[in-house]
Amino acid sequence: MKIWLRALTCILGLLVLPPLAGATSLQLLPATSVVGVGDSVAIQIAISGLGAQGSAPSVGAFEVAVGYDPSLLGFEGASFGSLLGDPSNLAETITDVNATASLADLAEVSLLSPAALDALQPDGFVLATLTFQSLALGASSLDLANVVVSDAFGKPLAIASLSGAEVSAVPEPAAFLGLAVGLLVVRKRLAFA
Amino acid sequence: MNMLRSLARRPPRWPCACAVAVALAAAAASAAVSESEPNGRGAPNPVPAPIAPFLTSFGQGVAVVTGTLAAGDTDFYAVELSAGQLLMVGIFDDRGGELTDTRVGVFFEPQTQDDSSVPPVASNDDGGPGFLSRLAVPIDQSGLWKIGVTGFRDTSFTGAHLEALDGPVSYRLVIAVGTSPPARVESSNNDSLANADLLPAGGALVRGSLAPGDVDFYALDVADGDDLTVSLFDLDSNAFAGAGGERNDTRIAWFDANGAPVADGANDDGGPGFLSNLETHVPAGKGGRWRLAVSGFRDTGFTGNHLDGPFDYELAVTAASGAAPVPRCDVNSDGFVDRADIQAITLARGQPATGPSDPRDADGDGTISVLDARQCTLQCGNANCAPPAPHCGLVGIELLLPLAPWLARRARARCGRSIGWEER
Repeated sequence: MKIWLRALTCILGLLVLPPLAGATSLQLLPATSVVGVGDSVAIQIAISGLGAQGSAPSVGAFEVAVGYDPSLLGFEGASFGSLLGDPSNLAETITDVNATASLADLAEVSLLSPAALDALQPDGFVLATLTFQSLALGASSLDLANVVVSDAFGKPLAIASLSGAEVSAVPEPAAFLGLAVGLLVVRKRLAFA
Repeated sequence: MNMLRSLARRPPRWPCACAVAVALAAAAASAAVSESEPNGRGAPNPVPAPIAPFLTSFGQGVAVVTGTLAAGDTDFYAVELSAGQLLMVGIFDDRGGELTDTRVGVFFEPQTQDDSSVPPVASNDDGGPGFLSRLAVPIDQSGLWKIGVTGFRDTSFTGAHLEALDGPVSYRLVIAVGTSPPARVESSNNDSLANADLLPAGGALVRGSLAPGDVDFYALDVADGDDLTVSLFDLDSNAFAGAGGERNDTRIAWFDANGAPVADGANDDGGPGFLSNLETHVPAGKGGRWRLAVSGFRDTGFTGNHLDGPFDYELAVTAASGAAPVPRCDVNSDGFVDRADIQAITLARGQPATGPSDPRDADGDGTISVLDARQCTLQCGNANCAPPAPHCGLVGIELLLPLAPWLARRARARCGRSIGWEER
């Protein structure tokens, strides 16, 4: 029985292990957010497992769609990172955001050379940041879809894992309660110190 | 014509600059130049014409000169190069070099100098396919360099040879200029037909690296009737110079749009040394996206079954004549790939391609995606996909023309007032 339990534990442990180093993954950060109704929340699209700074592979372009529950969240906008080029500089990148009721689709294509991208990008960074507004009480999952990530030469980068996120809207008192608990903890720590 | 001449005589204002820009753009688009006799040692044909830095006019690093060698004839071409570059030249003909024995020489001397007692900086007899010539020369001085083509006996480049006695022989002279660091390099995962690196239409010079077990694939959109040349030069591991192919034994082959090997489309030791080079014609009905494989000589199946390498190489690929290939990436059909084309592809992401000739579908997978957009950024005519130089024509000042009568009236009134004051 104990052997079976150990085996099961091992299997479960393997399942929850993070992706192997070097395997490219895409995730939404933070994985969980708690906000009050009417508040805004920023969600980052982060990539990791690329080549170290100065070496391939680098990201030359990407398209990522983030699905959400439109009854709970409203899409406010998106901003792009600067490691495919400066988004405000027409000579460096092309960006596009296409939002529907339940899907925010982002695309960015770098106009920089492969060597410039290799020099610019570390092994992991934030591709873009999306901003949502909480519309009603409840938990909305944010799911990644239509993911296409290109290397510097226009070839697909294999994404080993995709991780979404969840945004929970709670009543304001609860939010205050959380804040109060936090303050209490801080105060106790100060008292002990 | 007269208007063009008068424009050319004017000081260097915008119309003149535009004319030059258009001429250069046209030269860059075709990358093919025709010989113009007489072009002896003292009167070489400039490539491009008018003379300009080679890489400014031929941004992809390659140009093809079509010429004819007659009995007692020597052909000279002038190119403007910079110190630190690597000049690679190769001659091809329609018979694999079996019936014509050429010599090619490279000279650094003033354009009009014609002194047969001055030897070339470097020359080659049979480095290319058959008896044809090929060589790589490190450029140690900036300025005008000459490339001479003659018969193999003519070591002094005066026309003392016996080639073409049965009639003129046509040839193609491929000129490639490499830089360090290189302008174009192979990607890290171009090891299958599906992952071939797409080269710009017309061809390009690309730096690659071959290791044991490695196969490099490149893709080129070709049209029926195109004449393709491939020249592979291995590089010295200690300096930016050709290694002569004495230690590295390569094999190259073309695969057609269906992935099938092309008849007479492979080569092992075309030269120099054990290196490969190849000239291929695209048969009628066979145009499309061809793939070129580079591997070690043992690897006849191009699966990576070889022990050659590691070494770096420069691969010069050209495609000339024939019908126009599918104009990939030039979405707005203005003859130039720039930011506007990349943006159009980005905005069309997710849409199905309209067909195999859809210029937005650079990778030919049937769907428009950011992969196509990114691939097309590597086909742009300018760095960062900047648009071409302004076209000749209206520049904006003409928008003020409707104001001309008002300005004239105002000037007359001002003039009248000043005269009135003088009268008082």
